[in-house]
Amino acid sequence: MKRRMLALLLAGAMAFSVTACGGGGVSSKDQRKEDSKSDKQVGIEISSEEQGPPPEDAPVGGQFVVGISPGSLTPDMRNGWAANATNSGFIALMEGYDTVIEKRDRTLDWDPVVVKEHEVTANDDGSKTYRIVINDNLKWSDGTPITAKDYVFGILMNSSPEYAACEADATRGWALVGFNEFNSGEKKEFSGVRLLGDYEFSVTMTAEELPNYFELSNISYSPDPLAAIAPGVDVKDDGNGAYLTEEYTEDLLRKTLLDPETGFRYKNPVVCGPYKLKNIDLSTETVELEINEEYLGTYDGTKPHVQSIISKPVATETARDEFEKGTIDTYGAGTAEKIEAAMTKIEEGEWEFNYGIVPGSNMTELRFVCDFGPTQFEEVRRAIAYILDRDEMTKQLTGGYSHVVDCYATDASSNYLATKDILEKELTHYSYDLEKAKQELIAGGWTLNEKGEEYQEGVDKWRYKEVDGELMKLKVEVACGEDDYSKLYNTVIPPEAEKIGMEYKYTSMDFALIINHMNREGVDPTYNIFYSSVGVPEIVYYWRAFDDAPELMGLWNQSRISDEGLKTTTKAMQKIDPEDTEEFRKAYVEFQKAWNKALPSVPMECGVSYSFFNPKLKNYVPRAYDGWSGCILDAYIEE
Amino acid sequence: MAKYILKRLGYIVIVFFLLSFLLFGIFKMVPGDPARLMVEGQKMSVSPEQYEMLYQQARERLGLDKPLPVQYFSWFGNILRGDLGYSSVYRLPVIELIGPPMKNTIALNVVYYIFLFLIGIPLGIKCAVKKDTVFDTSVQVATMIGISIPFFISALVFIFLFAIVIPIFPISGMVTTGANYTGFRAFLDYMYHMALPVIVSLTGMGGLIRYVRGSLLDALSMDYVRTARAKGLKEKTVIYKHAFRNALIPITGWIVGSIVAIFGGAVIIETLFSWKGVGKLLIDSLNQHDYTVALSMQMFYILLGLASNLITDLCYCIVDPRIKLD
Repeated sequence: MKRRMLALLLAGAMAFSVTACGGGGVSSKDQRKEDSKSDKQVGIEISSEEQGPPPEDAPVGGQFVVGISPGSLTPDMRNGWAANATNSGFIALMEGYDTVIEKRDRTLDWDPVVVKEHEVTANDDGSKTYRIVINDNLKWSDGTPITAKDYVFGILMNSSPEYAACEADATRGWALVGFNEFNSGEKKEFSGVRLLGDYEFSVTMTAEELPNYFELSNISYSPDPLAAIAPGVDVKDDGNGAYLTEEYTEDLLRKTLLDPETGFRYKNPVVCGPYKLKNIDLSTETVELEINEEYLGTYDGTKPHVQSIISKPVATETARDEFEKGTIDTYGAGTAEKIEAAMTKIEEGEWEFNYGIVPGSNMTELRFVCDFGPTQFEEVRRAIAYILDRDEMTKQLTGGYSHVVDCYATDASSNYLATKDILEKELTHYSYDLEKAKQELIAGGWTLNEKGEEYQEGVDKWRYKEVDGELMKLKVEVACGEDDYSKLYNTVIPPEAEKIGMEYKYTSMDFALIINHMNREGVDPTYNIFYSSVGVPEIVYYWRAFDDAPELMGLWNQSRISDEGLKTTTKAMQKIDPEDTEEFRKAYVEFQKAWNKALPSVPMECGVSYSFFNPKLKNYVPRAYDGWSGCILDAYIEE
Repeated sequence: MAKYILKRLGYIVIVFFLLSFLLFGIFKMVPGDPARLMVEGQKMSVSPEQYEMLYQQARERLGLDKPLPVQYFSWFGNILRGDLGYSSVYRLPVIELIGPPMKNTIALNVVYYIFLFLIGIPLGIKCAVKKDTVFDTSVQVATMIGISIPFFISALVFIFLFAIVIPIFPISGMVTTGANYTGFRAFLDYMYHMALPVIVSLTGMGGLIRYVRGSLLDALSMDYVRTARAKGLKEKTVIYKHAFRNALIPITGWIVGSIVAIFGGAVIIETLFSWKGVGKLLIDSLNQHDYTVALSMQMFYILLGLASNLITDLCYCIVDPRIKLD
């Protein structure tokens, strides 16, 4: 009997012997129930308009646990190497004191906490010099003062060949005069960067980057701790541009940046942002940040109030359970199934959490390649838009939690939101209409059959057009992945295309191969359409993205489109005074109209996600573009 | 024996070389450009000239600017020197990347195998001895169910039962968040988080139980067992001294194979329990076209596999004197 029991007991032994070791460290369900007895408000939707700095009497303390995707944390605690979205949240909280910041209304401005005064001078050669005087009360997390040398060092190091030799991204000063010579090691001075005093420096933006409505985005520089990263090195300026003394070498950087135990890349020991790194353990994927007491605050006085921020790896499959159990403090639901399941719990009072609805900044699209084949013709692109029932497809894919847009924007964009009413009236909403699709093709000259005779519907299968003396078949090739979106599009679109005499052929492939084809890396142009999800950031250099200069094709101009309307409207946007928002928005409307007509891609949908969070978090306002790291800076904790 | 070992070592070198050549070729044939993926994110943040420069630098860093034979011999030479290469995704030496997850994988597997053998072998023996009894049938049915249910289902069921309904285990993770335990308390915390993944893994122990049971049943049907019983030996002596020692011969392969498996990750368990191990790292590397990582790990497993084959054969020779190695 004893032996019989032994085998069974062994199976359970580990389970029960270690059970006693658990607990501690995080809030529990019981704790939440206790909390709910107080007058805590739960189940409330928090609007993004409620965002703002925490109240002056907000308490400092508490702990915020953020769930991260298992395996996603890289060792990088500093930008420049392989920091991904997971790392970026933590890194963003350790960075600060940029000369130019994006304010809550998404406009760019000088940060008054950092910049005491600035002066902009237009130079004869078309370049612009920005003289910047910083405040003398800024400090690093180790208590040492931040001076102009730290700012200049930041630009120099992050543009230097020595930094590049450490496999880092050495392009920080790319928009400044003299970058190429400095970056290649040809010159030791960076002529576009000047050290003018203990708290004064200047940068000169190259004429090629001007005019630029978003020019301030290229003048947003943060400091790097010279004394800590490059001990013994000095920043000097003899009149030809700032430079680093000869003690600055690759070996020195390898020692201070890349040492696994102490290097800035992995431990970032001296920072100037709201938080500093307390601990990182890669084997358990734990990052712990704590408040940097030396931090003076953001432009509007926001200072951190949550004492400790900790990561916890959580699988997608168990994230909701972890959140419900209280082991993580936020839970993002991005699909209809997840949103509805969570909202049901909120509505039925099972979940005592609050939430915010966050518009996505990504949109899915059918991106055309506009420099070869049938999709080089805008009539074909529009015809394809007319054979799609975008509203219905979007509903099927997202359960109604996203919607169709008709321009190059998402609901996250402030410019789009400000002009939405006008755009909705002005833009063509391409909806399923086979007749209009056929009319577009006829107008575009797709009126022949394979023999070069007139195309007869019901008799001829495919349309042709005479291009440069030869017949071109109306056949589009699509490169796509194997996701749900691609599957639906590939099921629905080909039969509709056939109805208008268009052959629509798709090939599913690996992402890396799609990238190869997009970049035409060792392959001939083959595919006319790529299904893609594209991020539409607040700041877009539209004038580059739709410029048809050969060197921009396939890089900035990803659709390889050459369209006069797009070029004219975007060049107009480029030249607008950075402070004239109203004028920019007028030009923005014109651009979107041109885009909607030329249709470099068919926008399919842009979605929303629901961000649920523990009600112990006060003033936590989920919103577009800012991830958890942006929201937590405003928040404080009331247990 | 020494001659045999030397000969096998020679084979190992040749097989390792050939497989390295084959695998390198296969990875190189996979479409996609790791250097392009490395700089893709910077496409719209620098000028076209600078982007091209970054791309060329990435090619150089990954050694892609050299002819294929040079790439192969350079890579193979580095492997032999213990330099596993450079991850294009993490921008780190592969050896630094593999360290932490390998530690977790080994820890999880060691504990798993200890419990597997402690439970599986006695259960297998008991089933063989009690063949066709209620106990045997129950174990067979239970283990068959365990084998039949995929880990991703059993893991979710166990999480639901033992972390949510009866919350005696954490749902996932490796440490209690924010607890910052040290020393023995940290060890206990680590083991506490390991418990549920190990228990779920043990639901698949039916294979070993059935293997042991089968081997022992074969041994028990042998004439020497009948002779032993006829001599009047105690049943315990018959089973453990005569039958089980012979049954151990095929089980040896299992046990030695486990030594190799200790280094292998379990993707589903690692993913669902957020256990940072090499299984997920390998899959992620393949998905992200981080070939250096994937290739290095494959070569490591090949070497382990080849070594374990040799060790298994040597072990057979030790446990069964009838086997002669030439």
